Parts: sequence; structure tokens; C-alpha cells
Amino acid sequence: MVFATVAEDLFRAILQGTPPGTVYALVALGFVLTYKTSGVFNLAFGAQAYVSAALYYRAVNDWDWPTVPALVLSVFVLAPAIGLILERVIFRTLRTASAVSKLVIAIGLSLALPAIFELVFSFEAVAGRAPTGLLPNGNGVFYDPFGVYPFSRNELVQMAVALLGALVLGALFRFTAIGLSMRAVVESPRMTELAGIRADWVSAFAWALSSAFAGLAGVLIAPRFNTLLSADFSYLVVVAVAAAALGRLVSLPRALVGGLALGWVIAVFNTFAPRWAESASFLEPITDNLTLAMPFVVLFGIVVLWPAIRRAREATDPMAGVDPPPPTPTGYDRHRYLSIGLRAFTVSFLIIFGWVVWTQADIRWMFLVTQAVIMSTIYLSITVITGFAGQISLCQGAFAAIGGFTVFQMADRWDVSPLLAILIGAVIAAAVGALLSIPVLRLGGVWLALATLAFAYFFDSVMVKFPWVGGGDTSLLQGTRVPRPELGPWDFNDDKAFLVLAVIVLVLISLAVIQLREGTIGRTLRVLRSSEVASESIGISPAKARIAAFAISAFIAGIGGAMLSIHQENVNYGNNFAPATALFWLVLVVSLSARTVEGALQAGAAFSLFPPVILNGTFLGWILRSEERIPGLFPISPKWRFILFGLAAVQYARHPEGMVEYGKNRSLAKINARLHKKYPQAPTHNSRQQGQQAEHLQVVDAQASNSQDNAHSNPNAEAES
Amino acid sequence: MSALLQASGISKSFAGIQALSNVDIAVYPHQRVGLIGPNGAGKTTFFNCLLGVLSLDEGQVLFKGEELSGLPVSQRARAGIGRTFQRIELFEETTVLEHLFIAERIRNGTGAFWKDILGLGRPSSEELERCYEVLELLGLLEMAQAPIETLSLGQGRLVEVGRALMTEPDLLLLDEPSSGLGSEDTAALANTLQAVQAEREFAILLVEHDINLVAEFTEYSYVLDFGNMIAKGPTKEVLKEPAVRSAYLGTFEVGK
Repeated sequence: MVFATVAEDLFRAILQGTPPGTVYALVALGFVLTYKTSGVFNLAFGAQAYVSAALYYRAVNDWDWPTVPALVLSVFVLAPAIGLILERVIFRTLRTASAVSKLVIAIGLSLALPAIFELVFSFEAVAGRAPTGLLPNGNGVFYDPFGVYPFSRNELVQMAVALLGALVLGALFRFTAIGLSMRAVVESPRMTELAGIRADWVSAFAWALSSAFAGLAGVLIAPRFNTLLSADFSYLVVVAVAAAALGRLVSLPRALVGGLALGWVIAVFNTFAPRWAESASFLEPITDNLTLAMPFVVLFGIVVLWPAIRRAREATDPMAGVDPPPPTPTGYDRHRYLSIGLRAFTVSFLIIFGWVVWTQADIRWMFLVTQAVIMSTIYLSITVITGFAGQISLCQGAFAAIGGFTVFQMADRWDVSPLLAILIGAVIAAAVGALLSIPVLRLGGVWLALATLAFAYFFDSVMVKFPWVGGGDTSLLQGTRVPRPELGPWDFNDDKAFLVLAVIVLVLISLAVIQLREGTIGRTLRVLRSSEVASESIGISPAKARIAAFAISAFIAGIGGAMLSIHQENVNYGNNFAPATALFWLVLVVSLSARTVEGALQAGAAFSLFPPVILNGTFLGWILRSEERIPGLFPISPKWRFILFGLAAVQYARHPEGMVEYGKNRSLAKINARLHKKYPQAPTHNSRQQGQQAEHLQVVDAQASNSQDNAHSNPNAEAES
Repeated sequence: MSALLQASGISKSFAGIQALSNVDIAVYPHQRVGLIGPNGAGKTTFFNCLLGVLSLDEGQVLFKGEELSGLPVSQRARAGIGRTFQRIELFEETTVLEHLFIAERIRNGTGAFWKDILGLGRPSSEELERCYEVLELLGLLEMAQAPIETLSLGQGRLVEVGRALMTEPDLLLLDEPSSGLGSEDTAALANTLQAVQAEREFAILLVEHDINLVAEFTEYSYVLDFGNMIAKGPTKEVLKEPAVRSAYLGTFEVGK
């Protein structure tokens, strides 16, 4: 009897899981198709799905279009067009770029695409107006073929359309010439080209096709959400990646099965987990959010535990060796006047800026500047993990949140001074970072990024709900309040005093990061980033170095997160630390400059000052000396920052040092050359420098331009000294 | 004299294909040993087994009398096995000097988090002195500050050697050092290596298919073919053996 009930429940769960499972399968198919034909780990897939779903919604609800034209427009016109544009404009030129840099680009696009769409179609998500499905009253009419689970119309449509899509794709691959070409391009684009096939057109076709799949999946899945929000669709990507990972990202049939299986697993857990939780109440937060968290748990599990993935190397083209080597970066002998000039400029800029803020800023500007300082601290954690170690971590938001929540819990429960709690929070964050890094150590770049993304979402949907993390029910009413500290004569409730504290923390951490970069750890990470096998051959243990990098990075993020919470006197988890926010952090830092401390400072300034100063037209107002003269164009939508920085991240593949850094280095090199011409360097200067041998052990790329002084790249140096 | 490296009964198969079967190799201190064989003979597999990149199916590797199995690559490097790479592996965006310095720092093990933070992690003049010694030995002194990307392939190989030397290896494994180099460059490399070895006294295991380099450079050779050891002995004699000649040149009969 009991067995019969369980069997019936299981059957119901499987039926229930089938419709979403088919949609997951659809997304997974498209995902694998893009990955196989162009090596792009397209995390922008969710954004593409969202765009199609939103256009369909707009056409049907706002423009009163019938279903079919709306579907054609959103899925068969817009979606493939986006895919084609992405391939033609961005990814075609990056075929040989590393998988990690393509991933960063895709993350940038996942932020930029929804913002572009919303601006172009002036689309705003309206709460409570649920997206419509393909059939009228799709969520209201039910059919119950087995007498166990009633399928809604929408679900039936989902299954039918997804099945059709899979069949069409299968037939395409099996019976058509373009399908055959696609399979060839997957193996090796260059070999295919040698056979007289234009590989780039084939991959453009694949992009259009897979984007249509994304669009279709978006339209089909949209009725499940109450409000159309682009963030919800990133969930879809994670599901797709999990399903695709089941097929090791190379097998289309396995991706299909993986999608279905994931739908079932989620539904089965959703059915049975609450029963287990009855006997163990502490599991409640887990089971409550299980449907949401399952894909992340599954993804993390697959990525970490499945041996095939651990061994999987990045997809490489057998003929990649024929590519010309990348252009040689050249260091330059920086002129003394240039060094002096730069230093003078920086110091005077900081003094003037600081003075203006100190004397002129009202409460709002004070807030923004303090926020910029604290964000810079957090971004230094990205400098360490991404800039130095070359790893893409997408869970810096979770690390920062750990810092914030620790301060909140410490103050709330035990009345611990926030200043002490900052350190405790940072240590806890470091411990979590180190623990997290252990299972993911063996993973390659892209898989590591995915594991951190899975962790970020897991933290978001499960951990935060625990009372001992996010405060539980009470914090829903009161917020997660954090007091400002006092220390002897200093009361940091005063905004100016707190700004000073934030600046001190930033300066200390900046100095530490610079020392790390020049010391053993920084150098170890740098050589490890460049060649793991060579690093091992001189006795470097990659595991230890990476654990250290994660722990240090998480420590810094924890300090920053704690400071941010104290500043706002509230953790504000959703606004400050949610996973999507952390994606934007990465994009921001990477597009400016991930490898230098000043890059983190610029990113911090950009995060909090770019919208109010530039986008609101305030800066223009200052220049024109009247707010009335600001053109009607302003204020520009804050969405522009996603567009600008998201698209700037596209440059990551070519200029991993960051756009600003690249531009700065170029112009500095020009000025430098001119200075050398006009004022030939006195030889005494060089020989003096030669005495300090430590000074000329410098890195030649972007870091060289930031390093202390200028004596290097002089082949004759030894002869002179 | 006991062997520095004693590999005995090494077997390794991939998906049923026997890449190495029961291979024995011994390298004595300060000896120059060649490991030769045509393409696909199992040289690289053997190399990777020694280094711990691949795990052994059977057999054991003793280095300075101690069992190596189970040790990760980095530990073996610290134990005194240095190496170079067939496809050159240098650190991008750094200078020649920095390649040597990081190896020196890892060897002397003085790096620590707290030292870095306090600014004590920068190169000391002693460490740099040691780097410059090796650079001088290799004739790379003038290139010390050169960005690594500006070096030629031959110079890059020398940097790899220098980087390995900084770890003070007892055994240096050279993986096809002649690949990609012309005959003149190869000869120059061999000369430098010989000079360096005379100065620093380490053993060399040379994996190579350029017979000329092996003939000139090594004292003793092992020949692999299809995973089997087909000959061993003093290099000059080994190269004359008919089995070796046929493995390299194929069998054909002249004058018929």
C-alpha cells in the first residue's frame, strides 16, 4: 500500500518534471550546439532567451499581435538575428581565443543584451502581469491523461514544441549538407576550411540556429514566472549548463537526455524532500528552496564529482598550432620625466578630489564616494583571483555577503563590535573560499567558473535563508541591521569619520595587494597562470597556490562586504551581493583593468559614481555651470552602464589587461617615446638604478607601467654597471 | 656506485594498447644517458611516467634510493628532477631573469605570506646573484631583462635549462631539445649543455630522436621501439646494432 503510494507519487513527479525537462533539453541543445561549433561557453544564453520572451510578451500584450506573428518575430527573426550578429561581430574573430576569455565576453553580453533590448523597446517588467503562453488561457485549462497529474495547456505546448525542435535538429544533422558541415566544424574549423567549406558561415548558421532555440525556450518557459525579469532567465542558463554537462558538452543526444533527467530529478526531489524534512526541521530552508537550488546543486555536483569533467580539457583545435603567435608585448624604458609627471598628476588629483569631497560634499555625495571606496576594496579581491591567478570566480558576491552577514550576526546576537566582526567575517570568508577551492582545484578555467557560479546561486537560494546566516524571518521585517562602530574618541556614525575609516582600509589592502604581487605569492600565481606544467616542473604545487589565492581573495571580499554593510547600516543582501550583481562586478573590473590596483579603484569609482555623475548629466551640468543647461538627453538610463561595460568586456580576449589599461599604456608609450626624443635620458640615471638590482626585476606587461621605477629592458645594462 | 634513478619493470597501457612493457632504465650520477626511439616508441610516455604526469600500471621508480610513486609532479621536482619541454613552456609576460628567480625562490622555500605582506617578498641580492651566475653560465646575461616573448626558440630552450638549473637538480630530463632547432642551433645547445654539466655536476637523461645529438652528447643509451627496450649499452655501440638501425630506418635490402 505504502509502496503503491510512493510509486504513484514518483510517477506524478516524473510527469510533472517532463514539461520543464523538455524546455531544459531545448536550451541544453542550443547551448551544446554553440559550444561545439564555436567553443563559446555562452552564458548569455539566458539573456537571449529573455529577450525573445520579452519581445513576444510585448507583441502579444502591448501591441495586440496574434500569436503566430509574435512568435515568428521573437523566435525566428529576433533570436537568430542576435545570434548572427554575435557571431559575425564578436566571436568569429575570436575563434582561437581561450575558452575563459570567451566566457568573460559571454558574461558581459549577458548583462548588455537585456539592457539594450529594454532600452530599444522601452520594456519594463510589470509585476503581477504574468507572461502569456502560446495558447490562450494556457495556465487555466488542464488535461489529465493518466489520472495522476493534470497537464496544463502550456505544459503540453512546451512538450510538443520542444520535441519538434529536437526532431528538427536531429534531422538537420543527419540528413542535410549543412548538418554534416556543422559536425565537421565541431571537429576542426581549419580542417573543414581546407576541405573547401567556409567554416565561419557554418558556425554563423549554428549560432543563428542555437539562438533560435534559446528564444523558443524563453517563450516556452516564460509563463512559469510571474514577472518577466532577466535575472530569472539566468536560472535557465545554469539549468542548461547542468544538462549539457551531463553530456560532457559534446553530445547532443546526451544533452537532450540530461535536460529531461534534470526536470525529473527536480520534480522528484520537490515531491519527496518535504517529507524528509518533516523529521529534520533544520533542513527546512534547504527544502523550501530546493526547486530553485537543485540545478545549482546538480551542476556543482556534476562539475566537481564527475571524473569525465575533471579530466576534460578545453576543446582544442587539432590544427591550432598553425596560428601565428600573439603579438609581442614590448616593455619600454620609461622616461624619468614621465614617471615624475604621472606621480605628480596622481597625487594632485587625489588631493584635489579629496579636498573637494571633504569640504563640499553633501550627504548624498558623501555616501556615493564612501561607497566607491568600499567597492574598490571588494574589487581588489577580483584583482587577486582574476588578475593575478587568472581564475574566473563568479562567487565574489557570496564571499562579500559572508563578511556582511557576519558583522550583522555578531552585532545582533553577541553585541560584538563591528570593527572586530569585520576581521572575523573576513576570516570566515577566507575559510569558505579555501574550502570551496579544494573540490574545484583540478578543474579547468571554464569549469571552475561554473562551479563558482553554481556556488553563488546555491548561497543565494539556500544559505541566505538560514536564520544563522541571513537572519531568518525577523530580518524580513526588520532588515539585517548593522550598527556603525565606535572606537575610543572616534564615532563612525559620523559619515566623514567613516569615510576616513574606509579610505584607511582601502589603502591598507591596496598596499598588501601590491606587496603580494611583487612577492612570492604574486609571482607564483603569475607563472602558474601562464604555464601550469612548467610551474610544476620547478616545484610549485598548483593546488596550494590556488587555495591561497582563493582564500586571500575571499578574505578581501569579506572585508569589503562587511564595510559595505556597516556603511549602509544594513546588509541589503539582494541589492548588494546577489549573484547577478557579482557578475557585473567581474565585468566592470575586467573591462577596466583586472591586473592593477588602480584598475580596482577605477572600477569602484565607476560602479558608484558613473551613474550619478555621467549618466545623470551632473558632470555636464558642472561644466556648463548650470543645471538648466543640461541637454534634454539627460538623465540617461542607468541601464547604459550594463551596456557600456558589458560591451567593453568584449575586448577581454584581446586585451586581458583591460581596456583602460591598454589605452593608457599605449598613450603613455607614445608620450614616453616623445620624451626620450626630446630629452635623451641621462646615462647616470640608468647606472644609478642598476645598483639596485631588485628594482629591475619587473614584469614587462601592464604591471611594468605601474611599478615603482623605470630601470629595465635595457640589454646593455650589465655592461654599463 | 648506486644508481641515481632506477626505473624497473615500467609498464603502461592506454585502452589496451601497450605503450610501455617492462622497461628498465638506470641513470648514474653525472652520467649522460640517451633514450631514443622512432616516433611512437613510448619515449614521451616513459618520460611522463618518470615525472608523475602519468601513473604506472606496473613497476617502480627509485630516485636517490627512494620510491617516487604517488608523489605529485611538483614534489618530484623538489626531490631533484628538473626538466625541459619539447614544446617550449615559458611564462608569458615576464623577463628571463624572473623565470630563474621564481624557480630559485621556490627552491629555497623562503617565500611566505607574511613576508609578502610586509614587503619582504622581493628578490634579495643573494637570490639575484645566484640567478646571474646561471645566466652567465648559459651565456644569457645580456638577455636578463628581455621580455620572454622576444627570445628565439634556441634562447628559449636555454632559459628552460636555466630555470631547471635553479632548482639544483640531480637529474635533468631533456625532452627533445633539438625539436624545432636547426643543426647549428642544436650543436650550440649541446655545447652549452656540456659545459654547464661539467660545471654543475648533474646527470642528464636525454629523450631525443635526433641520432646525431644523441651520438655526440650521451655516453650510454637505451633504445625503445613499440614500448619495448630493444637495445642498451654505450651509445656508440648501440647505434651500430642492426635492431636499432632497422627500427629507425626500416628494413630494406641493398643491392639486390
